[in-house]
Formats: sequence, structure tokens, C-alpha cells
Amino acid sequence: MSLIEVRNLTKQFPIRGGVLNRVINKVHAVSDVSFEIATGETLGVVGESGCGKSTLGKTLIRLLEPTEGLIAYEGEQITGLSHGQMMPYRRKMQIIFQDPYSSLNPRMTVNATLKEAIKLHQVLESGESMDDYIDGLMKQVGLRPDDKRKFPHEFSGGQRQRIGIARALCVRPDFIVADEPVSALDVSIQAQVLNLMKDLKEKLGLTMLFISHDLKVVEHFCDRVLVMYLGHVVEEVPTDNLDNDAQHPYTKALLGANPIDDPTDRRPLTILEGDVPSPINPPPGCPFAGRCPMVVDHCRTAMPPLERKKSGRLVACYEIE
Amino acid sequence: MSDTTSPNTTKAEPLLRVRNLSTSFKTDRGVVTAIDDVSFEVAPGETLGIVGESGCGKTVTSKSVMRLLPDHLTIYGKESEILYGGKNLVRASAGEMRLVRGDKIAMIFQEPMTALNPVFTIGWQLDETLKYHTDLNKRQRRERSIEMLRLVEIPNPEQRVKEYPHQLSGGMRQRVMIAIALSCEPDILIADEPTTALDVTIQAQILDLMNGLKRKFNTAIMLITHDLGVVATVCDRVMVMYAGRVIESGSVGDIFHNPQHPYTKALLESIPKRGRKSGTGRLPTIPGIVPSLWELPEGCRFEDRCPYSDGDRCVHVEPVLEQGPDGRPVRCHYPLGSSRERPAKLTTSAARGAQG
Repeated sequence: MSLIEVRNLTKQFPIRGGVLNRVINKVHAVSDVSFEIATGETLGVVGESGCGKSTLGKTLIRLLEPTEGLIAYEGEQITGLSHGQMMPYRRKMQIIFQDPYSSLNPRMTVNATLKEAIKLHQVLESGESMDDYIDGLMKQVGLRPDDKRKFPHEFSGGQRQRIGIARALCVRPDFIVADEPVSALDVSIQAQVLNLMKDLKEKLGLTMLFISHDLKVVEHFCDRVLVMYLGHVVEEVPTDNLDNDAQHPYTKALLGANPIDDPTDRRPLTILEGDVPSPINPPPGCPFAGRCPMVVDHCRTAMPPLERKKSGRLVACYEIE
Repeated sequence: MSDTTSPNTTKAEPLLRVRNLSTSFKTDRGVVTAIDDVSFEVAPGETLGIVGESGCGKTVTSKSVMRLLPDHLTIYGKESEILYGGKNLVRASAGEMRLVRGDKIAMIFQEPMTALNPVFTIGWQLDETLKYHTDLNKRQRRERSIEMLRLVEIPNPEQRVKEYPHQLSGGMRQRVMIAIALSCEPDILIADEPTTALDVTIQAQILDLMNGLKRKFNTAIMLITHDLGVVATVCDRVMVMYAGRVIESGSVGDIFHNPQHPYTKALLESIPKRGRKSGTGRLPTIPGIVPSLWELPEGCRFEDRCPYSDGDRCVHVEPVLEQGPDGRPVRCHYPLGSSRERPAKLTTSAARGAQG
């Protein structure tokens, strides 16, 4: 049963200019993306900066309005819902940001921040005490209940991310978008936060979209991963055996460019020539064509569709059968 | 203090010897010591990796060597020596440092956009270094600039010298930084997190480029990074730092396969491993956080996070950096793999793991 279903999601940002401030161009951030997330599943999104992975996460929970496409939550379409109609879904769908410091109000104590969301969404059942509920939340994310009286700047990076997690969990969501939740943390702290998220996910039965640029983290944390390049999903692959299963030349290059944590295994890193094309005037065909070692002529004229290949998996590439 | 270089891995005579380097800062709250008694050497054609988490002192170490820290706020220890070309750079004058900086020892930074001047062209910035350190005339300098850009594999360098930093991508900007750093063929290149701000495919390009240039010019590289994958890929020797102290050093193979300090071991274990999905789904972690430099413990600085602490000597006596069981320097009372009896794992160390 899929909790989330996305069909042909597209997000473009207008660029305005000229004397009349008209739309003179568009940034194609997310182009024609479709996928489903099953209840309890963790879907990873991986890609390099500017590939549209954060825009995808924000559009999915309608923090950004999609330009085109449909999003369904538990079978109900949420694109086009009014502000009021959207409220129950806002509670069910939460987000954790990369940098909790910039997403927490510096003038509010943790207690005040949590209380605001809990009140707005009327999370508490009758007879439940706000203080007890918040104390419980603090303990759940590995902080002392007393810490709730502190301000965000009084915490370390790892603790702040725990508050970011408590903020997302305080309204009892079912679905969480985690946008680079551990990228700003040191490795030893990163492991602590990943373990916490894994425990909470299992305990609370959460479904997640986990966005990261770090393949190691995605492979460790997610069941399945979407690989994005310049707004397009180029491949969807399970994480059990990523090195074997990856088929798209970009996914392979990404895997090969990742340094291996073993000095005795010094195979040369895969070097891709060139840079990512601009999302303002993306090339007509496959966006990866300019850097692809397998490129053929028709790659440059039309974008290959994300289709099921012989392997049974979804890949957007003409050269894979 | 003992030498942190294992004799069998260094063939050439070291270019740079750092001895007992301590760097403190004057702040509003008093004097704080950022790095304490750091010693290391770098030889030509060698890459030394300096690793550790934020606040461990790796950047202060590199900036001390370059003397880039504000002189009026920085106090170097009395015993501190940075020996390069028969001179102690710690006591060098500003004028003497200017002759070394950029010409003999060059540095590249994490964020090339803030290190490059946005209002001057790439060509101007390459020219500035050459003008100061060489006798070349204007035309020769322009040729040299273009040659350097070609060397770092920037396409169409004749055009690029006329462009401004904002017209280049992140990877291209870092290439320009490398071109500027290498334009005077320095003996030592200090790279402070050179690929941290870059995407992984661009990181691979830059690491490959640095490796190629190292071979070509026999440059010694000090690579400061928190990314152990990068260390495993390009470094010859590694020095691990924790809370301002060197806690272990050795060849990259020894550090990765036979770590002697509990912190090194825990750090290596806490990274998710590529291609090996763990069954339980949990990562081994290091409980707690790095101590504040203002409230350093009396004993070992890693004691409160260490699963092997004996709760007594570790708490009260800070270990010195000394030869460990396999002959490499390690700062631990009970180095891993030693015959010295290690205390049983304390039950309390697991209990205090919840906070972080």
C-alpha cells in the first residue's frame, strides 16, 4: 500500500527581468518526476547540488506549489487543496532540515517552539498534559526534559538536530521529509543522529523521504533510492546491493567517484568530465549526455523515459535494455 | 616529545618540521589553547593527512604554519618551532613570512569563492602572486597564468583569464585556487578541506588533479580534512587530532587497519560503509561530544567518551604521545593491541551514551 503517490511532478521557478518585470526564463528544478512510497518505507533521494532533490522534498509536502503534476496522500489528492483543507495533511507530513539552527526561531525556547505546533494542530488528547508530553518528546530524542527551557543557541549541532527531530515529531506525523539531516554534523555525531532516526522510525512506524548527497548515508539508511540529475530521476534502485544493481551511467559514475574508506583498495576514482548543465536552459535530450561515456546520437535530442528495464528496475537511459 | 613520523615510511629528508607547536588565542574570556604540543614532519612528494572533527585544531595547525592567524591575538608556545629552510617560522617577521607564503608554502581553502577576490579577474589574481614572487615581465606572467590554468585542466584558458570568479563553477574556482597556489611551484601545499564544499564527482576531479600535480612537481601536501574516504584515497601518512591534541599518527594503512587509539577506531567504525549494508541497521557511535577547550579535563581528553576508560588513571593523568605497541606514536594509557592490561569496559560508559 503506498502512502504517497507522485505523478509527473514538475517545479519551475520563474526568473523575472526587463523593464516590465516579466518572466523571461525559468529554472527547471524538478522535471516530470513520478514515484510511490509505501507505508513504512524509507525512500532515499540522492544527487549533487542543484539536482532538485530539496525542491522535490519541499514540493512533495507543498511547502512549494508544484507547477504541474499530482501528489496523493493515502489515495487523496493534495495538490489543489485550500489552506484550510491542507491543515490535516500539514500535521501528517513533517520536515527535518539540514541546518536546524536556521529553521528554529532563535528567540523562542524549545518549549515555546514545540508548544506552538502542538497547540496549532491540537495534537493532545483530552486529559493529556502539555508538560508531560513535551518532556516525553525530549526524552525520546535523547535530550533532558530540563533542556526545553533553553534557546537553540545553547545547544551543540547534534543536540540542535535532535530538537529539529522533536519539532517534526511533536505533531505525531506519519510521513517525514528529512532534507540532508546529518550533512552538517561531524561523523561521530552523524552516527548518533542516524541511529536515533532509525529507532524512532521503527518505533513510531514512520514513512520517510530521506534526501542526501552522501551515498554512504543513503545506502545505510534507505530501502530504495531515487537518483536525480538536473531535475530528472534517472534511476530508481534498491540499496541492498547498490554496486551491482546500479545501471544508469550517472549512478555508476557517482558510485565510482565516492572515495573508498580503505587505503589498501586504491582503485582510481571515476572521473566525469565537465560540469552539470545549467537548469535555466537545460539541453533538449538527456541532461547527462554531455558527460556520459555511453552517449549515442539520439540521447542529445530527446530525454529517455524512466522505464522498466530487463532487470525489472526503472532506469532512464536508451542504452540499457 | 617523540617524533610522529614512522621512519620506514619517510624516505626523503623532511621539508617542514613542526615541533611542540602550541597555539593560543587571547579572547574576551581569557586565553584559550586551541592546539597543544603538536609535532609532525612533511617530506617532498608526500601527502600528510590531518584528520579530526570540528574544533580539533586541524585548521589552527595549518594556519599556524602559514602564520595566517592574527598576530596580536595569537600566542605561540615558548617551545614551538616550525622549521622550514633552516628558519623557525614561529619567530619569523612579517616580511620574512611574505617571502615564504605563496612562494614556498601555498594554501588552498575550503570555499574558493570567499578566497578569490570577486572584483578582479582570474588573470589578475594569478598575476598578483607572480608579480610579487617572480621577475617575469607582464607578457611572461600572462603566459605563465594561461599555462597554469591549462595545467589544472581548465578549458579555454585564454578566455578564462579575462573572467571573474562568479562566472566559474565551484569546481572550476577550486582549480583556479590550485593554479594560483602552484604558480610559484611551492615546496609545500596546504589544502584545508579543499573538496568539502564540492560535489562528489567534482571532488574526484580535484583529488585526481592534486595527485597528478604532486607527482609532477614532487610537492609535499598537508591535507586537512574530516572525510576519512578522502584520506584513504590520497594520503600517505595520517595524523589524527582530538580536542587540540595529536592522539595518533602513522601510515594510512596502519591508521585504517590497525588503529591504536580508541578514538581513531571509533571514528572509523562510525562511518557507514559503502557496499556493506549492516544487518542491524545501527551504526557504532561515540557517545557524548568533544569537550570544550575552556573546560578541558585533567586527564585524557577523550576519557568521558571512551569505552576503555579505567575511571582512575585516565581521569586524572593525561597520557603522553609515545610509542605504541606497533611502534607508532599514540596518546593513550591503554593503546589498542597493547600487552598492557586494559581495564574491563566500564558499565557507566554505556550509560552516559544517551546524551549527545
